[in-house]
Amino acid sequence: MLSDNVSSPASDLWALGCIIYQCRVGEVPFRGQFDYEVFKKISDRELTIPNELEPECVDIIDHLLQPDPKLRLGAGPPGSENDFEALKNHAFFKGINFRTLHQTAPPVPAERYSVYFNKK
Amino acid sequence: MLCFVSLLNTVSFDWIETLSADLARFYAAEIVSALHFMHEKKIAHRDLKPDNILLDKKYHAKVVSISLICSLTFIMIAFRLTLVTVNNSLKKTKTLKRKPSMKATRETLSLTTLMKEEASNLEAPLLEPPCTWHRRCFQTM
Repeated sequence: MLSDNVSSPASDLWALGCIIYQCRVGEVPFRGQFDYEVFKKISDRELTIPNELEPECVDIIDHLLQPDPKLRLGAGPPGSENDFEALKNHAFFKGINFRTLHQTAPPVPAERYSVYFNKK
Repeated sequence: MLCFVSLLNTVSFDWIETLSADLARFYAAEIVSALHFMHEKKIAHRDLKPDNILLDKKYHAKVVSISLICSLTFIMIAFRLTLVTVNNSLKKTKTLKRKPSMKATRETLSLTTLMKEEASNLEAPLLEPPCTWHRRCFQTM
């Protein structure tokens, strides 16, 4: 996307990788003072990954932050090696049933959210 | 009615900086299923970020686009304003004319009804809150 400036569904998956990284690490994956630095870090794949992160989490982040949109996990056409089914069957999503996902209760420590939701 | 919280807020303010592994996995899975649904319909979100992930009362994630909602709301407000001004000017012309001819009234009336119909047609899909829209997305999956 940086080189040819075309956004596609694959760029959503890149953003998803960024969100997962941000949720787990607490920081933006590529940070720089100027846009140029950020672009350089992305093209050099300069990514700091804390040691305590689970291997499957590191793996999915690595696959989603793939610079080539065609090779990115989930971006391939249906039936290919890196389609959405491959993304859903990734080891990171082990134990998650996508069919009943909207009925499953999120594993949220409730007292944290009560701050937002009990006020009316 | 405040019932949505951005995932960004929870990550940066109240949460202990990061989400637990289980929770991150759960929200990533919800985003993946939303993205799968969108991409199947040939829609790319193009502005996916933690600001655009909202949590509802049951802590489920919804993928929305705040900027899109804002622009749509502005369009609707602009449309309504023009509608109001046009309606007012029509009323003025009606009151100014003491004895309007039948043809003119019929025309103005039909014009106003037409515009109202158009407005009601437009309102239905545009002003639907994004929450129900997305809930429907999840239900169909």
